[in-house]
Amino acid sequence: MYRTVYKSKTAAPAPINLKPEVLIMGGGIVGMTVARELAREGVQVVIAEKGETLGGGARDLHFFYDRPADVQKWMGDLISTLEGEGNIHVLKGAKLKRLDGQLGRFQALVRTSDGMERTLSPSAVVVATGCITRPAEAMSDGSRCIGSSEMEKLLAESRDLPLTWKGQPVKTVTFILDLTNDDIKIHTVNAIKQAVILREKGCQVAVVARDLKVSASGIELLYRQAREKGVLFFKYDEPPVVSHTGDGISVEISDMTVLRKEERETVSLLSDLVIIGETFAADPETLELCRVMKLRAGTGGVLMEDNPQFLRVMSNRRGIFLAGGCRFPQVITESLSEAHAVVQEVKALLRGGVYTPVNPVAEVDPPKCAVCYTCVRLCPHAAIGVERYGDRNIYSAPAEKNGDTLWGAARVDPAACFGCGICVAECPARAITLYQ
Amino acid sequence: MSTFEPKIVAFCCEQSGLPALEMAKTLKLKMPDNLELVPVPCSGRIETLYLLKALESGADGVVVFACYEENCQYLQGNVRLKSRVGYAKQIMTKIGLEGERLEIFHVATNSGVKFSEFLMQKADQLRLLGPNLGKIA
Repeated sequence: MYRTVYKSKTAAPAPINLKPEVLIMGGGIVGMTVARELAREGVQVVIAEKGETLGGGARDLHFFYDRPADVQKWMGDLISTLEGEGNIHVLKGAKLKRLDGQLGRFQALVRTSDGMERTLSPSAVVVATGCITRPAEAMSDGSRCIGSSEMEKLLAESRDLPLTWKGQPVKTVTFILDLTNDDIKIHTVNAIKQAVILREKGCQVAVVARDLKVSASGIELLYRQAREKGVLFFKYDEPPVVSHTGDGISVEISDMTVLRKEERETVSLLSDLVIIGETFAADPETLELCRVMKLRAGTGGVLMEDNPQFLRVMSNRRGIFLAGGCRFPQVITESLSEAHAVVQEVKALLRGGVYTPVNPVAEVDPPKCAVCYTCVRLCPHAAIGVERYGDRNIYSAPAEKNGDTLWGAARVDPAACFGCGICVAECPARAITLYQ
Repeated sequence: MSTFEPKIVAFCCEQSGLPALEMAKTLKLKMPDNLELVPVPCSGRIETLYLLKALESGADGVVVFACYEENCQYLQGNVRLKSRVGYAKQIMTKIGLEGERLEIFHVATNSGVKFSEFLMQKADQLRLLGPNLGKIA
């Protein structure tokens, strides 16, 4: 009943040696957590951070939503443990110029800000470059309309004192959510977290949202706490109208508790400050990194695969892992659990020091290869390259090249091949076979 | 004509079609009698030539069981398949074969019932269409 498209081969692919060396792109909290955990396991870790200081996007944060610790203090501890670790090397002002080879023979060329170039040969690469934000459009006029990271800073500065903004006391605060990035829950989490702190300082707080997103762990409980402490929540359909009055800023929304639309009246919230979450934007540097590393960029400039078959932290190439904000803007707790998932994956990969190709693996027959680059372009895992290893064939150019005896042909790296057979089906010269 | 039992060649992606087939077997669902199954690692492995060869060498209909789009384990195998099937259909129209003889069907691993229902439907459809005139046998 069955027929098979595989050809069997007796010789198993040779195992590939992996030495315990890992390159981490990005020195944010995710990169640092991965580095710390891996260094504890005796892995040599190099962190390539584009800036001059470690910390990344978490430098704008001061409060966790799910634990009382201060983010900056926690991160300071993390950085000092990294500095005490012998296995961790941090390159500052670093930029990845090239990444050649495949799993087991990666060659990364990193240029640091002082013009030094160094070649690394990591066994695995972790991409944790984070995400970037730009101020929301509504904040452009500046006065009394601030971003959520600025609010975080105000709260951290004022500690036990009453909240002030530009020297004026702040009594009432309104959060407007979901104007942009309606699919991201960070704004909800930040607003509820800050609202609870603001209530403890005695401010009146209202949260205006299209939909509250409470899907992070513990957020529903925090929402209930906020309700109990007297934070007001309003829902809107039409975007709220923000207007400046003499000594405050007013946010007008229609009352959604009335069912009939024509009977809805306008509710006006007069407040001292309006907080609007920043918009998350595609990071051009991450996209450049994708090009260098031959990774697939997902939609919207983030690296998340919109594909349920994929583990969160896997990329389309074997040996390259993704974690944190570069996958998708997300709350710290989730980024950290991704960091731990990456640590597990890297440990599983490096365990035993060898990787044995297990899948059915495609193989090119060099005498048939015309070097048309079709397979190189089509391989979804960037596992194919053209190398000089074949004998001269009928497609080869007539002139001998300065005494070189080997000719170019496509080569599938068995370590990077996932065995899908896309190249086999597409090869016009039928030079590729799938072996099991 | 009543004794005509169309031969169906079904290419099954090992990520979705094959588990669905296993499920259909476990549930002892009805399958067409004259069925040949070809497991492939990914639907992207199927060449245009495979589809046409199957029709040439005796199949009355060819079905490809692939994963849903954006659900491919190998990222874009089923997208590749789609364009190849489109190309094969163009050739089939040119040589005068009905386009219904070739079809992609997207399944998930747990859709054993859908799997068998689709095959039974296809067999009925092919029975109406009659034997494939393009076969060389």
